Parts: sequence; C-alpha cells; structure tokens
Amino acid sequence: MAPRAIIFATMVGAMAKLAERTEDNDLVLRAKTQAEALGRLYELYYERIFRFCVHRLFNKEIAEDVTSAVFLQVARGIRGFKGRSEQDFRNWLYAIAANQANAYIRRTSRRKKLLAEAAGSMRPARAGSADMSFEPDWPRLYAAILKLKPQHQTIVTLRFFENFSYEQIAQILDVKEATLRVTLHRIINQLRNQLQTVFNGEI
Amino acid sequence: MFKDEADFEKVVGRLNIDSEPNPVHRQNLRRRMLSVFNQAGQEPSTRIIVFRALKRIIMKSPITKIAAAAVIIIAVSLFGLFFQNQNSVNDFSLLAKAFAAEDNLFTGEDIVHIKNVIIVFPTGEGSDELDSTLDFVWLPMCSLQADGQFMFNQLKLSGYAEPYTVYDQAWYEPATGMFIRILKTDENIVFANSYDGEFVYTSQVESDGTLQLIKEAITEDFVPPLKPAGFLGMGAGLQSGLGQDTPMLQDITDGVLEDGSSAQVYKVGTPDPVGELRAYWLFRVCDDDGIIAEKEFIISDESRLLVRRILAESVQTAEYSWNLSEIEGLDVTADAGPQVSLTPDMVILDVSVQSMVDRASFETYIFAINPSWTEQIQIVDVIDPASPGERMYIFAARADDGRHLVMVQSPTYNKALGGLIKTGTLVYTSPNGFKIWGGGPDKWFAEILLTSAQSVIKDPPSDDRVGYILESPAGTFPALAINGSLSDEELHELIDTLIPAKEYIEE
Repeated sequence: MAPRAIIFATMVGAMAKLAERTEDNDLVLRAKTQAEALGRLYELYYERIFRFCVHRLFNKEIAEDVTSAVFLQVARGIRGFKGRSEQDFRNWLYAIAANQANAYIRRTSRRKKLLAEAAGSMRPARAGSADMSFEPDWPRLYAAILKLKPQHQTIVTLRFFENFSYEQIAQILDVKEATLRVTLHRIINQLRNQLQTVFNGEI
Repeated sequence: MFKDEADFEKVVGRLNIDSEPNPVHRQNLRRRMLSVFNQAGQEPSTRIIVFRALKRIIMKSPITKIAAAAVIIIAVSLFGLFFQNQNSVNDFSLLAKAFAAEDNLFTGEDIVHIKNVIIVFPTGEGSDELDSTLDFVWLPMCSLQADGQFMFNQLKLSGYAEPYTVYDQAWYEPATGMFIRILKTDENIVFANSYDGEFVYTSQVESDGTLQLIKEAITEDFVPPLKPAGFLGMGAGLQSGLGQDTPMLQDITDGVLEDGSSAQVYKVGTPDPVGELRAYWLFRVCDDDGIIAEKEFIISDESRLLVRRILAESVQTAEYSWNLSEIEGLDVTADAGPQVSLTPDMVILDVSVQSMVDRASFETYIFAINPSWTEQIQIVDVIDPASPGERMYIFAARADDGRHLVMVQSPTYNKALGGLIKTGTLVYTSPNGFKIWGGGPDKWFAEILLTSAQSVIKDPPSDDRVGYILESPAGTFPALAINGSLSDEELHELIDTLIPAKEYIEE
C-alpha cells in the first residue's frame, strides 16, 4: 500500500474508533436514565459476563444466577454510577461480577459443591502421567484455580480466559499494573503446584 | 504442565469449555433488569436515602470510618476481655478445644519452647479507604506483672514497603511457672517479659522509643499463671468462648497449612453497615493436633498480618536466662525500631470514674443512677486505636432480663458520629441537654457495641437489640446499645440520669 493510502486508512480507522467510542460514551450516559440504552449495554455485555461467570463458577446454572445478580445490581446502581465512558462501565461491570462470583465462592458449602462437580467431570488420568508434562483438562484446572485466593482467581480468569490486558485488569481491580504482574507471576507458580496436587487426585 | 504465563495461556486456549448462554435466560434477565431499573428510577425510599447517606459518610469521614472503628472496637474487646473468659470455656465453643489443646502444650517435665513468626505485609495495592485508615496492624501482648496480674499491651506493627518479620519465642517450665518471652525483629528486641521465681522482668518502652527493663520482686500473693497458653500461646488475647451462635463467626472452611497438613479455618469478623466483610481474622486450626497453627488478619482480601507457629518442642534448658537482666543488650536504651512499638495499658478493666476523668481527653458522662434493670455498670478503659494517644471508655452492665447495656464514649466516635446522626431521627431531648438519635443503622451499631462487651454481658446480641447515638451538651457522641427493647419511659429515665463524670466525682 502506498504511504498516502496507509495514512488515509489509519485516519479512517482512527475516526471510526473515535466515532465508536463517542457512541459508547453516549450510551453509558444515556443508560443512567434510559431503559433502551441500558438494554443495549446489556446486549453488549451479557454474553461476556455470563462467560466470565462460567469460567469462575464452572457450573452454567450457577453462572446464570450470578450473572442475574450482576445485571440486577447494575440496574439498581447505574443511576448513581459516576463513570461516563464505556471503559468506565466495563470496569465497573466486571468489578461487580468479580465480587458477586467471589461472594458465591466464599461459602464453604458452595465451594465444596463446585469442587465435587469439577472432580466428577475429570477424565481419568493416564497411567504414569503424573510427570510434569501432562496437560490438565478444564475440571482439573478449575479445581486448582478454586484453591487460590478469590481475588487471585479473578485475576487468572480475567487474564487468561477473558484475555484482558494487564492495564484493563489493573483498572477493574483497582490495583497497580506492576503489582499485578508480580502477583500473576506468583499465582502461576502456585497454580502449577496446585495442579500437581489436583492431578494426583488430592483435591 | 506449563512453565510460565505464555505457556499457561496456551493451555487455557486449548481447553474445551461450554460457555454458550441460554437464550431464554438472556431474555428473561433482560426483562427483569429493565423492570428493576424502572422501579429504581422512582423516588427512593427513606431507607435507601439513609443507607446511601450512611455509606457516603463512612467512605468520606476523615481519619476513621465507622467500619474501621467498629473493627477496632471488636478487636479490642476480643483482646481485652480474654482473661475473664479463661475459666469459662464451654463445650459449645468452636475454638475452645483449640485453646484447650494449646494449654496441653505447656505441660510435662521439660521446658517447653515455642517459636512463632509474625509477618507484617505492606498495604496492598487493592486496599481501600478502610485499609488506609488502619495504616498499622496490632496484636495483643500480655505482660505478667509482679502481683501476678497481667498488663494488656498493644504491639503496634506499622506498615512498611516490604513485608517484615517479628520473631516471637517463649520458654516455659511447667514445674515452676518460670518463663521468658522475647520478641525480636532482625535488629532489636521489641518486647520481653520473664519470671525467674523471685522477680518479674518487664520491658517498658520509654517516651523516646527506647526500651527499659523493669525488675520487680513478686508480691506475697503472687501466683504464677495457671494457663500459660493464655498469655504465651497463639490464642493469647482472644476470647475463648467463640460459640456457634456468635454473630462474628462468618464461616468455617477446610484449609491447608503451609506444610500441607489440613486445617479448619474459622473466619471471624463483623460486616460493615452495608453488609461487606472487609476486615476479618482467619484462625487455622490444624486437624492433626487441634491447635491454632496460624492466625491471619485480612483487610479487603489482602493479608496484612500473619502469625504462624513454626516450632513447639521440649528442651532441657532455655536459650536465655530466666533473669532478663542477664541478657546483653536489654539493659537500657535498645531502640525498638521505627515500625514496631509497644503501647502499654491497652485495656484496663473495671476502672473508677475518677480514673476515667483523669485520663480522658474529652468530657465524659456517667449514669448518676445505675439503671434499675441492670447490674452495676463496669467501666473499661481502652486505647482508641483510631485516635492515637487517646482513650475510650466502654460502659457495660449485664441484666437479668437480657436487656444488657453497653455505652461507648470514644474520641473516634466523637469525630465520626456527628455526621451519622443526620441519617437517623431525633427521638428525645432530655432536660439535661442530651439528644437521643435513633433509626438508621441502629441494629448494626448495637451489635458492634454489644459484641465489644461480651465478657461482661456474656449473651450474644439479640434480634430486638436497639442502638442510639447520643449527642451530649459538650458536643460528644456516646453510642448506646441495649440488648432488648426499652419503653420510652425507661429510655428517657436512663438518659435523664446522665451527668458529666466530673460533677459525679464532686458530688
């Protein structure tokens, strides 16, 4: 592509992004008073939040309940929501989702239920595969994640399952990016150890 | 397995997870959400206004937040009132077995040596205002006095950029009751207490921050403590009667200790007025021996303080002399270090009105006539941790009919509650100039106050408890809780008897 065309394409792309952001910003502002705008935000985010909840809670029915709690909290609180941009809304929404999921998991009986369900879904381990080369299936990985601190579980989900950047996660959780990187490094090490335990059937 | 984040990302990418949403749920939720949204758009109820106002005050209140003050008061009560409960551990107490099991450690013929580490973590990046309010954490530290009584101290551990560790060691000889306890940072001794059969040695922090050793001959009626775990153990300073019905007990979960052994984890704390449990303790009781292996203080999901037992053994001799004055470096002027300090007299039980007047930094009040339905009111003098250098006073009286009374006068409350009363309703103005404010978060308040005086009132907060904030003629804000309902006449009569403590003494 000729240099001029590249510049033009870049400008068009930038303008398109700007227009998109402006529209989103308006959407958030309007959603504070207009049900139609809130409905559009819901359509934009329902699936993402549901997926996040599935990743945090393993069970789809539970994920539905928690997703409901998230959006009902949004409906009750959006009039007082201080943010203006779509980014503000996304951070707020995921923070609510993280808190709701953590609140669910904090109850022992519920955590046990989730662990039992994950254990019940595990594929049998291959004979002689207790070495470090095995690759965990989703139930095993989930059982290991569930052993982490709730906030660390959230970090893992946001980073690896929802593919958020460090910057985005830092905003959602209101932590410093540098701290987040260090924390995540530790989490990965802890998770590796946990997984070895889970893989050995010691959940 | 996976080596690093990039590797882990690939592993996650290959997972097959069914996260397809159900269209029916999607549609139904949309409808419900918009319905809730429309309802919320109508005029908010008084309750919501009060709730929001309360939350705003909590979040913006200078120096302390109500929630922080509550956490502090609860922790203070757990600490200060421990010894009164030592001999009344009941079978229903969840942690009672753990305390009893720890007592068993301090038996036998040999000297018992225990070693704990106290790890202080810096304020987390995810901390909120509550965390910044509590820019230090603390532990109860009991020191034996020459008369056999205990002084309750506050070991204050300030935040630091990096985690740091304080080493806590004790030796105890069951046959004689002689003991030595020493707390050290990497650099300095920060606390020491011992009994050598004739003298009690106590370290005392001077006003310039240096440590002085006090040596006192034991009094005639001195008796070595019968339950050394009560001041040397992991449970020192904690109420042992944590019952199943204790509102502070939030959860019991299975956990794992650092060495991989299994444990029961007790989560203890009180939610703030908006229902969030932001500060709490975790006690990890090892399944193998039933002893508290760790206690951890959490604020906003971040660990701020971890106390871990790393050694409990029998030895033939103690590493130090029972006579503390023989320890080099503990004779005079050992610098306690900037981040660790010891404040004496954290809690003084059953003080006199005169003592309260002498020590309080604000106008205190007292009931000129003891309420007809309660036993004699006891006054507990406590450090107000959220108002450094000042004291607060807990009035507590048990009642046969269950309507126990607790009133707290505190510098922190005087600063924080002025705004809160606007969320409530003025229910009475007494001829003596007192105003009574009710409503708002009164149940929450009442629970905090009643919990803070558990060792006196002994019963858990009842469902019909009531709380009031009083506005005194001097502009202070005592907080009052009754563990049951009062008639208007009883309430008025009670408040009408409040007079300045100074006047009470003069009369």
